[in-house]
Amino acid sequence: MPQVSLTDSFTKPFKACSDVIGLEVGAGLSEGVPAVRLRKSKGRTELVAAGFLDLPGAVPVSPGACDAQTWRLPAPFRAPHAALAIRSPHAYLRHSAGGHGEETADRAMAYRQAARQTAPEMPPLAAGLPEFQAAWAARLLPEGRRPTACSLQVAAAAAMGGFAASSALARAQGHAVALFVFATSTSLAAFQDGRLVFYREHGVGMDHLRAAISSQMGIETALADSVLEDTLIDPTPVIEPILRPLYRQIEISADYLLRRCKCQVEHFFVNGLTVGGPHWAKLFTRIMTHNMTFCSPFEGLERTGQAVRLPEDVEKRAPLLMTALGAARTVLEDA
Amino acid sequence: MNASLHLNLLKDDERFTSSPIRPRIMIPLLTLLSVAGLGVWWLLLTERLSGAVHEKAIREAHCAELTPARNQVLSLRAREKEVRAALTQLGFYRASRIRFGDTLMRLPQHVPASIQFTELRVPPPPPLPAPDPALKVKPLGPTNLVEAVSLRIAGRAGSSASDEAVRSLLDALRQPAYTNLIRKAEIPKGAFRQDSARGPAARESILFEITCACGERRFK
Amino acid sequence: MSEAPFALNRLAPPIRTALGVTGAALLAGLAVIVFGIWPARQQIRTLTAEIAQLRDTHASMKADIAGTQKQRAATEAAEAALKAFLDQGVLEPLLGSFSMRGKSLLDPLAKASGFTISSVKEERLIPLQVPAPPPQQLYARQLVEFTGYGAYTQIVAFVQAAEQTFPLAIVSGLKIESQIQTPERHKATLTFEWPVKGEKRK
Repeated sequence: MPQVSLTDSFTKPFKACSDVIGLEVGAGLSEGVPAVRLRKSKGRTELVAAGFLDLPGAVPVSPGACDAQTWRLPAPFRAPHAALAIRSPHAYLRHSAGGHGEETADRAMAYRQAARQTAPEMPPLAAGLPEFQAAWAARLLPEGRRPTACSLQVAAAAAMGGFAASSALARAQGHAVALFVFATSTSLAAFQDGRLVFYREHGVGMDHLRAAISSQMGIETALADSVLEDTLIDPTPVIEPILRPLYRQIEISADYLLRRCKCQVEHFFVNGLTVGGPHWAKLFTRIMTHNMTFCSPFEGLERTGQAVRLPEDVEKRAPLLMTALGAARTVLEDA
Repeated sequence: MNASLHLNLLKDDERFTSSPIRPRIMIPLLTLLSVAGLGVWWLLLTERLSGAVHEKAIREAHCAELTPARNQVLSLRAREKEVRAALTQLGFYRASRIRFGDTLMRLPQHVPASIQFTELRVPPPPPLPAPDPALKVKPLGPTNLVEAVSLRIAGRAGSSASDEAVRSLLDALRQPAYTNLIRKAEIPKGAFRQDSARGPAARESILFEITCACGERRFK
Repeated sequence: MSEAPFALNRLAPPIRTALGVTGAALLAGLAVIVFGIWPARQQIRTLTAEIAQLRDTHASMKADIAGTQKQRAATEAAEAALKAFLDQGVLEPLLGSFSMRGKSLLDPLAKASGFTISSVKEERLIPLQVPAPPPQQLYARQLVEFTGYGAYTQIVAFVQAAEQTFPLAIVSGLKIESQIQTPERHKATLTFEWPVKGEKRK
């Protein structure tokens, strides 16, 4: 429903967002829809609530499949504003060649796009989402009750935004290469002075690792995580062929950063990894002769409210909340 | 220092308020409630008006019931008022009474033998003055409250000691016996003269006139 | 945002609906006030004043009715007093003539006193002074002139008898003239006045 402002106080009662819940729509997690509520108070960012919500989180794949849905969130998650991060195979995030990213891979459907200059002398970063998916997501949280949507982002940008505001990047003086591991892809971002200077998507994600372990070890995919967690079994021969190309991309990114800013990247961060971290690290050290730091999305945040005593399974699966947290954090930092 | 990575795909017209208190809902709602309140007020006023009409009708009926008896009282009161006004006016007349009988009866006792009355006159009341034409409302009756009364005695006195005889009469008229009626008695100038009639008896007579101012008739 | 804020066609449908509902409600409210509430209040105010007046009227009516006996007694007393006055000597014409009435009243007295009435003449009517408030029936002074002959003592006796018998008969004019031909009998012109009914006010 369109709104046209008569006076600012009448139709646009939106103050700067200081209490936001981030939701990752289309994550496809068995746990539920990732949700993280953040609040900015006296210059500090607080973690108010975090968890996986029992909501129908599937993004429609075609305009005809857009069933109208409205979500009602549990009380701890009812912030005034919501930042929705959409995970969709049709979404894109890339540096535009010039201009504002009008080139799209798929012109068969209408797209909603946004672009932003993230660093000087860098092409703008462009994000796009099919219009029907964007419109569907915008209607998930109806008017008149908490929360209502104040931001719609693509998942990869949300995750990066969360990292960009994190204490980990700050400790690295703003120079770092970060990995964002998702189910079917991994985003690779290079930061210089805290700004994104390089972004790539690599079509390898945790699901690929699980599938490789499952097929090569002859176990069910559901047991692949336990293999990755088990120190007795070394899955490195299985995962190395998959990770090596990724690490090569990291090397290229670090080299690009060295040439661009004349600085050696010493910090490599990994976000979103719930299992197999040691194997990733071991392989990374062997190939890159550098250490890899695993980030928790909750790092550096004061806890309050429901977040003071989070359930153990939420704590354990915290990296899966990276995108939801990033969506909320991006809005708070942009206010 | 950080450049934001907030690529917001949400349109402005997709941003809604989470507050249940939305002006575009509350203002029409409040207006409708106000109109409903006015409607209720109107109904209450209508009921009150109906009650007032009914009460007025009842009171008018009560007054109508009492009207004949009250008219009777008013009629009695009006009659009394008329009668008292008539009595007052007639009282003016009664208050103005003046008696001549006793004075006339006493008069011969004080007339010397040498005096013979030729005329005794009390002039009738003078005509009423014409009403003031400047007055917008003509008065209902005379505006004077007193009327002068006079008594004129004309006579003849024998020439010898006529003066004394007339004076004696004049003095008598000034005595208490006459003061009930006569306030002042005097002989006007030129009223004491020789009789000019023919005949020897006339030549020896003096004609006199005594004018007496009597008590006024007071119509109040 | 910098567009004219009151261009209705640029407003979103929900805003237009809200404005429409608000406007219609305001008009309805105004109509209720102008055609319903205001007239009703005026009528109630008027009726309240009328009811208060009726209440006072009723109370005064009851008070008046309560004094009916007393009023009746006062009225009858006043009417009795007036009747006594009228009976005492307010002159009524005889066959339309006050002179005839006067003659009828004074003839016996003249005969008794020896005064001979030769003529009776109706003189003028002088209105009486009017009190405030004035009566509807006004009274006046009717002068009647009696001319006759008699000795002084007879004339005086006649005057005295008239004044005593008719207390309201007043000598308002008198002329006793000696007669050369009859020194013992004088000509007397006596004007008596009586109160009579005058005109009736409208």
